[in-house]
Amino acid sequence: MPGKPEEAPLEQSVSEAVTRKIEVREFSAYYGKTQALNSVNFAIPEKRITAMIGPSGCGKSTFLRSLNRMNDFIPGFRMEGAALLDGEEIYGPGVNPVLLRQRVGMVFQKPNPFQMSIYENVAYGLRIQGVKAHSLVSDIVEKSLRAAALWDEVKDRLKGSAFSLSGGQQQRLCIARALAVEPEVILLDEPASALDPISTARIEELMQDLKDRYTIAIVTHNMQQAARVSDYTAFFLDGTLVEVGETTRIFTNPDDSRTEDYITGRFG
Amino acid sequence: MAETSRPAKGLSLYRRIRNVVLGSLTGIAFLVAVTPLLAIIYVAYDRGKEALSLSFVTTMPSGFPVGSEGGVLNGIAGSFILIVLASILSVPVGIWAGLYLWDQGHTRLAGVTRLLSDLLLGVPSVIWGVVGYYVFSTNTGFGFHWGFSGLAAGLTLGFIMIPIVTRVTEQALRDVPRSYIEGALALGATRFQVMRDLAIPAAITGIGTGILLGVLNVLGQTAPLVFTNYYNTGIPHSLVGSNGSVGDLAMQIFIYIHEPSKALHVKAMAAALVLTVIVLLLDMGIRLLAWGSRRYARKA
Amino acid sequence: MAANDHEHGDSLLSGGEHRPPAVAPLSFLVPDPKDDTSPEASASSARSSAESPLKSLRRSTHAQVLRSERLFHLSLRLGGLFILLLFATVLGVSIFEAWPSIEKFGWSFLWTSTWNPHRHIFGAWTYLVGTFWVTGIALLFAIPIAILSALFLSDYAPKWLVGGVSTLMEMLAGIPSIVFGAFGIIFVVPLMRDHVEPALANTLGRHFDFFSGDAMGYGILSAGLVVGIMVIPLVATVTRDSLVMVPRETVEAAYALGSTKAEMVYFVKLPAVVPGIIGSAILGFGRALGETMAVLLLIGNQASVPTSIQDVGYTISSLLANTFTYAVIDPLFSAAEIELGLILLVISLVVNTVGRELLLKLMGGRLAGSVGGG
Repeated sequence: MPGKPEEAPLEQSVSEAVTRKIEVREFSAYYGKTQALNSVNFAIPEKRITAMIGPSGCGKSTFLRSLNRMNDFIPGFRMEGAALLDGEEIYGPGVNPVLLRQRVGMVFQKPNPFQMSIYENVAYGLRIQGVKAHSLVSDIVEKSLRAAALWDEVKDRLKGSAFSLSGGQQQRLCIARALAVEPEVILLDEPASALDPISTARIEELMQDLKDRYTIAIVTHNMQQAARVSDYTAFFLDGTLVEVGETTRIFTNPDDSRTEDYITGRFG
Repeated sequence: MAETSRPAKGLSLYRRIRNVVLGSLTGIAFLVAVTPLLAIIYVAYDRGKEALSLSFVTTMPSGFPVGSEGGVLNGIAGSFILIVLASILSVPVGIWAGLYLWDQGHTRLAGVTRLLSDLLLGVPSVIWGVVGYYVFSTNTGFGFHWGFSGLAAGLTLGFIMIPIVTRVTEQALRDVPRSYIEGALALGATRFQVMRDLAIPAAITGIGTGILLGVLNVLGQTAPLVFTNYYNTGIPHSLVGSNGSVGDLAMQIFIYIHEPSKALHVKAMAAALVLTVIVLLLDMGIRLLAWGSRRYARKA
Repeated sequence: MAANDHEHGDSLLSGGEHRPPAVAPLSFLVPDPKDDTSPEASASSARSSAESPLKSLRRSTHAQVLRSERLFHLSLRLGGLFILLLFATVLGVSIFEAWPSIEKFGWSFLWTSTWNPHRHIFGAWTYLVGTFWVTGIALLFAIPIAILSALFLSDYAPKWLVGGVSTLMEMLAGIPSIVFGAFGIIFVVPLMRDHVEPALANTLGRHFDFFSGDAMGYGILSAGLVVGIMVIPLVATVTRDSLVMVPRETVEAAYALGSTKAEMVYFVKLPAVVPGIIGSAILGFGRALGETMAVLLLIGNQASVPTSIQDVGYTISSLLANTFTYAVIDPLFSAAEIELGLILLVISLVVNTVGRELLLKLMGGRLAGSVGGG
């Protein structure tokens, strides 16, 4: 049963060998005296989509934000245990979070484009790394916008303000912006919850395209979305990881009764 | 069970009267509070109108006693010089301190700094005058020995402005929404890059408004000048040394009103009107700026 | 192969320390790089070679990033240093220059009412009394009017008028003190001398000595009133801000029970903002303390302890502004004046801190406070 480190938190499908991109062991998180996460153990497989579901306040967002050390900015935040990216400690003593975030990107719940042109928004991540070569930058900007399925809509107005875009477009812009940095992992914190159903569908489609090249972890409060989109699903409750496994199995035949209760809507 | 008597439901005359009385009182109080503003403008205009003309603001004072003829150009020019000097000192220092408080605001040192900055806001103006006198005008350990001069006064006014600019800068930076900043942090930007590329541009209007508020404050300061510059009926060639005083509009009003000459009193009221109008225009300008930037931000 | 690629990049993350992948107690998902010959591996290695311009850039800036961040934080700290220095200067200069007087007179300075520059006897009492008289009259006049005005702004002004009227009040706060002083001399003093003070003397003054006196126009009454007028906008705007923050639910609950507007205001709203009112009154007190120029012009500038409301007097700030430039030639004289200033400074600092703390707790960080006198 989940919880003991020796147990396999993820199932392996018969034919594939999958790498663990991110792994957490006995990972706990605290905001001051309040405990937000309790001894979480699991691994996020590479080039798959892993969804984290659970009721509000269960700690899934805290968990996500711990992976790129965005929680460092919250005074009083403290972690225990280990979080590993490709086997190295994310919270290790020599680690510079600035560089970590170039490998692990994030897209937020509400689109948060910068007060700049569309082009500059996408290019920002490159500029701060000191990339100046104009052709390289515009190349990457175009590739990222294509990858985010936004290129055709904005290619004629790259100099226009990012705020002239609709909500769904802004969110795809934020995805393009994150992609331009060429991360290995993309974390999405309820990326479609502020969007209309059509934009949501486009973003879900986008994620399927992206998973060939990136490891994707998504937090969502929308179970149907998790079921549609993800390969693996992890269910959080009150700061603990209750169960994790292949999405189809979790939704059809969960091991834990709490999972079953949540999925069938008995609470949440 | 016996029913204990309850007051009749409904709105008694007493309650209604009480209601109206309170309402009227608030209106009356407001009028009382606001009348002085109107009274000041009216009285200043009434007693000063003889002196008001274009030449009033464009000529220097002359005649005997000095000022009974001519205008207040020395005061206007001097006030301008003082504001520029004060800003040169306070804007860089204040913004720098404000950036520090924003960036490292959770540390204990920053907490102490913020407290001291707020305390400085409450220092009475005479004390600033004394401090300015000892720091700039006289020969104490600080090394400056500028006597009564524009530079001494300008820098003292700068001292007064520093905590204002600091406070406003920190507040404007804090007003930048968290999600906006997180977007950049998540891309792997350093705190410096976030500050330079996102926070400062977003906060710039707030900071500008704050600087103008500081200017508004020092425009009317008279007491510090008494200790560091006093007054000049002309415009000096140099800002330091024995002839380095500048005029100042506020100081001018003070000096003119002190003299027993009727002619000077008229000019004093005219000058007061000029100063009041400048202050009110600046105030309105600040409000427009703040309102305009809020509309701009809402579009985004 | 995928795992090997990442091993090259390890130095980025752990600053040069290479930790071998831990032997996972988690049994499945065991990555065996040698077995991983899936098409993914070749795809990702192809991708990494195409990305190399970016990856190599990252590698070189690692140490730079660490260094520049540290430099950045350090240099910002210098900005904070200025504030500390400024405060130390204010306090230091005041204490240092007042020291001869502090040394000579000790605590008795506070209650000595003699002030004799020739004989070198100095005492603060007269000026303390004068300061508090003027401040007291100012607050007594200002606070009720300010609270009622604030109520007008928050609850009684018609919707279309509220914006303009609030702006009017706020703009009043910006008028310089000297303008009020000039207005005071030209308008208030004759008013007091010719009308108000005789009337006062003839009515209340017949029964209470406190209200009698020679009608001169100058004095603590005129000064107090004008300072009060200056303080009203400050107290009113801060009170208005706290009134506006009373939650709508609370107000609606009062109405839902059948209250009149006056009852809602008096029994529900005002009690809810008492800390805000106290805080704003304290801020007003602080502002009145520092008021110099208007007082200087109106108070009569005589070093006597006022016994009636029509008396003249002297406050600490107006004394300093008026006489300091003469006092400097005499070291003890100037030290005594600065000691007065120091007392004023300390009181002002304490008062302003208390006021701010109260309001900070109430309003969570944003203050409408304005700056001390002029």
